[in-house]
Amino acid sequence: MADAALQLKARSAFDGLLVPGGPKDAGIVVTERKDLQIATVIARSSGFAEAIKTAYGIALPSGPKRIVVHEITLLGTGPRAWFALRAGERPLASDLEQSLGEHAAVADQSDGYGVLRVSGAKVRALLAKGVPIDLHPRAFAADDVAVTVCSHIGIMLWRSDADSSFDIAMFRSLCGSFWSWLSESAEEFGLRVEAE
Amino acid sequence: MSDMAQPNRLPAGGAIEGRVDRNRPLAFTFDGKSYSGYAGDTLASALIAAGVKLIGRSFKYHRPRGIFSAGPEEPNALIELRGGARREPNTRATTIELYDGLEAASQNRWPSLAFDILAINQIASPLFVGGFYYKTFMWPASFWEKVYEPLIRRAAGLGRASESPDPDHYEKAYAFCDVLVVGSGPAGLAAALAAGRSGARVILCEDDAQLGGRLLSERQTIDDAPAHLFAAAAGGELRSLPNVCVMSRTQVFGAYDSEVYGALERVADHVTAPAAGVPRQRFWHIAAKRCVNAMGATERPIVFGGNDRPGVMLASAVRTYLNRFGVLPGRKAVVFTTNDDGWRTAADLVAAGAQVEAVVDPRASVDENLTKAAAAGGVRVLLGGYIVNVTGGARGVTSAIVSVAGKRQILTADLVAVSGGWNPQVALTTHRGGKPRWSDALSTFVPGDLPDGMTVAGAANGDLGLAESLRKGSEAGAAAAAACGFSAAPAPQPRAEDEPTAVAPLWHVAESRHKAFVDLQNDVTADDITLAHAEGFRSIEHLKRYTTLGMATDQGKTSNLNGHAMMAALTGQAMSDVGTILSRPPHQPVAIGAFAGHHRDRHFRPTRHTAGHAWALENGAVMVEAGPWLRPQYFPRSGEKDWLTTVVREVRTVRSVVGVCDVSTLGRIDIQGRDAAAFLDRVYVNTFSTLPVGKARYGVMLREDGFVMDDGTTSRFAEDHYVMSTTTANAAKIMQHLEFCHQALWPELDVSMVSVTEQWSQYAVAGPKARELLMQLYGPDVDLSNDALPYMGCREIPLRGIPTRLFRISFSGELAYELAVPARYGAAVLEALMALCGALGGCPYGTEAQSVMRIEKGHVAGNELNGQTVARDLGLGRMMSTKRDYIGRVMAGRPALMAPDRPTLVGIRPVEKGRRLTAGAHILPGGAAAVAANDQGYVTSVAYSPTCEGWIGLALVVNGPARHGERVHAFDAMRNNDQDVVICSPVFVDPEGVRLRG
Repeated sequence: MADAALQLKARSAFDGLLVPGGPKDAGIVVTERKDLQIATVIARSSGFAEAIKTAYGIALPSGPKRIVVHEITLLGTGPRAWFALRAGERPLASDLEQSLGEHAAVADQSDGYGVLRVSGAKVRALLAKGVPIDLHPRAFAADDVAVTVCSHIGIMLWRSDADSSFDIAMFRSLCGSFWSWLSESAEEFGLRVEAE
Repeated sequence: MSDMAQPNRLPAGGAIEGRVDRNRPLAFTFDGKSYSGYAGDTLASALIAAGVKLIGRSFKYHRPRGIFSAGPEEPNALIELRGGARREPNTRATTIELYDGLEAASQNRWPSLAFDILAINQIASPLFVGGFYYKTFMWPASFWEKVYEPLIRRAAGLGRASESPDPDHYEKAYAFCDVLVVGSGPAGLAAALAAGRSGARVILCEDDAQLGGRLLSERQTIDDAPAHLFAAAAGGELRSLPNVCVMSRTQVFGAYDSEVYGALERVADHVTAPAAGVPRQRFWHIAAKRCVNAMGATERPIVFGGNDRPGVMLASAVRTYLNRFGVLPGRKAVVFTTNDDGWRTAADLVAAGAQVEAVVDPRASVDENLTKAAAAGGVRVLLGGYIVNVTGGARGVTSAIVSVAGKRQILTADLVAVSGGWNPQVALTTHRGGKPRWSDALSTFVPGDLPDGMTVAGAANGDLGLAESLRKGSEAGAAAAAACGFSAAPAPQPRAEDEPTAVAPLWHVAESRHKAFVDLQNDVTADDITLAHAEGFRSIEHLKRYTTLGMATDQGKTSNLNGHAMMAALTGQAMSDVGTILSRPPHQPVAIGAFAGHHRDRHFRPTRHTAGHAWALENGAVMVEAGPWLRPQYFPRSGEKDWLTTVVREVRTVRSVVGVCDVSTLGRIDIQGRDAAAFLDRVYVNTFSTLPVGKARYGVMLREDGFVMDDGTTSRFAEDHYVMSTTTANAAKIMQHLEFCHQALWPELDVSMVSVTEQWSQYAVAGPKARELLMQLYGPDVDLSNDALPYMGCREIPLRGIPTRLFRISFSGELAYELAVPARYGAAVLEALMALCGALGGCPYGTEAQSVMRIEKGHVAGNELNGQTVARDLGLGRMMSTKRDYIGRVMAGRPALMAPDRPTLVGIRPVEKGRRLTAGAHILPGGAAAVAANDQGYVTSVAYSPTCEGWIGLALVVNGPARHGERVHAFDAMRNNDQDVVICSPVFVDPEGVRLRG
């Protein structure tokens, strides 16, 4: 077929849902993290920790913790399981496969999730309306990760570096329902959508 | 008392003036008539200010009723708040904050509040005694539903629901803290301050709009200043602490497992309508390590003749109306009290300028400070006295008849203030099974066993004195914080005095010969208790059901103890043996909408959309729910008269040209590892270790009990890499199953699995021109010939730099492929496919056409994979490996599951051409009676087949495969569809499979 007709345009998970704009003094600011490469990493062997150390020079913390190494964010999401993210175009899954070889099962999930960065003075008040866990800084530290639900939607939740900023990942198919909850729940605080 | 519009408003600047904001007048209506009040009023206080005494009619007898209390325990003053869709019945005027434009209406009266025809029920009152439902309307039985029940419902009732959808939004929210303090009276404030100053995370919940509890209603002092100033200062300090969250207008209504409390925040009940984005109410789920329960106490009344007349009011409520709201509930009062606390009402009335005719106290002697103070105020003291009757009517109380030492006297009065003592609010202490304990000193129940993590302080624990409440609250707050690891330097206790609170119990004035009410809300009288006793309903749980004592919105807050004590007197039991009725949360009414929160209408549960969702909607698809997913069911075109016309067109187009269907909702599981092949051999009945790389195979999985669990194709992309597909419905369940098998059964296997359902958008491309369409999409460099990609082959092929996977698999029976693309390109690829498809004369098709074609091909789906079929039943028995073990093998070998006469998959066609088949019809031998003994199976799936030009079906029939050609009867009593059908092969189209290999 003619090349012109075959413009395969990528659409982000929140495409058509998020419209940039909103009040300057909004209590909630939302940005879609569109540029992420995402992969699930499952340890296959006892040599996994060693392989990570060799490849990245670090020891992975155990439990639901976040660690950033070589621009890759690794989130502990379950026994033997991690969720890896890296900004930019560079394919992450194949890089991880290369570094970890037989020690891990890696699956590209760059298209499987929508990721939002939710911040602002009212971010905890907003998340309290959907997330049944304690996000107070005393209870949920900067490197904590939660695999939980928000308004009956399965999510992964972690703090980005700022105190009042959280990243939330959910299945792509549920982004519409999640956005309906978020936009309605944030209305009283004022909601601004920013482009990345 | 100058204001014409508010004749009972105390003048500003007087000894008692209240603390409403007189600079902010508010207009409101009651039963259509306009009134005014001030900011800070409740509807009840504003009505009292306006001189309105008659608020409603009672539940059964339609007796005139007024305002009885000043809080959430109100049994009488129930009104309909707001109009239209926001009309809310049975709201308590005593808890409604006045706002400008408030509309309220009385309820349970007709035609008007002042002239209520059904007040005649009072004359017929013997009909309405306890248990009247069970006695009066028993005969004839058929009359109950059609005559008696509607009649009773109209006559005896509460307000009307709006019957329109609620226009407002509700929310749910979660909160966490170290210390939850419930109630902000003296004990609650002291506890919150002590815990808050320690640095612990504290949540203070107060039902009222203002902090302070009884401090707002009494003329007491703390640190030599009016007590309400202490409340204001404490509130200010608490709000300034970053670790403290003060939640006013928030009622903690229940205590639940794991130290979780339910609370309702009335975010916008005090305004006409919520502002944009603001919910009306918010349901809080509060997890608290420790809880200080400082909910206070409720004053109890005394049961005597005419004690329900408008103008009979709790003594503490009178003080609230005077001291907090600056309104005078009556000008000439009689105080009837069994305890020292009630005497304060007389003093406050005198200070407010009212005349107090007498204090009537049944005790023979009281503290002489009380009598001296009364005498100084010019108040008569009638010790050893009782009120035996109160006269009056719809205009209120006119007199109280008092009996002292056998002599009666009539006291003119328009207000009777009554106090029988105080009942601690024990509800929260009982929700997890705790039983309250009887206190002889207080003549009431106090908290007994407490839920884990809870302490009780102040009046809620029976500590009624102010100084003691402050001290106990402070101690409880500090201890709760310490238990969470926080401590603060001890602060000096605020100076206050303990007021006298001595009490002698009196439940019922037995001398009364007039109707005396135990439960005002349910019109339960003293006679009803006697009757229940006489008829054997003596346990308090039976008493409740028989008389309705303690039911409805107030849950017996002012009636239960009196009723139970009266029964105890009749049975001769001690109150400690009588106990309390079982109480469950919520202890205050909570709107169902608050529990639902955001999850109503289309948000009832989350919905999953594929990447092609928008395209489907733009192209007119009718969507259907498939579990949480929405899928296109069919794509009607203009001029098509019904869904069947559309589906027939879609099927014909696929079978003759080409069609595209979004199959992204099917589960996809990525399986990797050296032992992936061995793992699959154990979970499928057929073998996958022999599957060559680049090939797909249909597989069937069993449950442990041998029945079929799921089916689908699994493809091999590398020696150690498979991709499994599952049905849409079972995707999550299969993922769970595989994880269980690996983690619990065979952890030694090197295999990992992860769902990649969401990573890929997948489209079925089916029909004779499917290959042509895909060649156009991929371009000339990609070879899609039969040799390059044969039937059941799979390949990873880049499409303009995008990684795609192409599977040559077919559900329709046509030459067909499934194309998987990363989901971000899902919409674009669908658009490109459909442009090409349209140019070739093809069309999109939905789940209906897909279903028709799978029935035509005899493929089993959800209707056949129903949890009751084994592989052999579905004609898949030969797939079951005989060489190795797999999940379900042993149990599938049970004799009953191997029996040849099990219902097995066949096709059916109607004998009468053109006749419609119905699924669910039972198969009977020709001529056999339609009884269960003759049942030989049932029809699972039916469709109109455009290819066969008639209705066809799949059925599970005894000995099915041996009976092709036999004529049997399909019996459908549900839809009156009886007909003869012929059993045939379940494959109606292309049984040799020529098309799909083409």
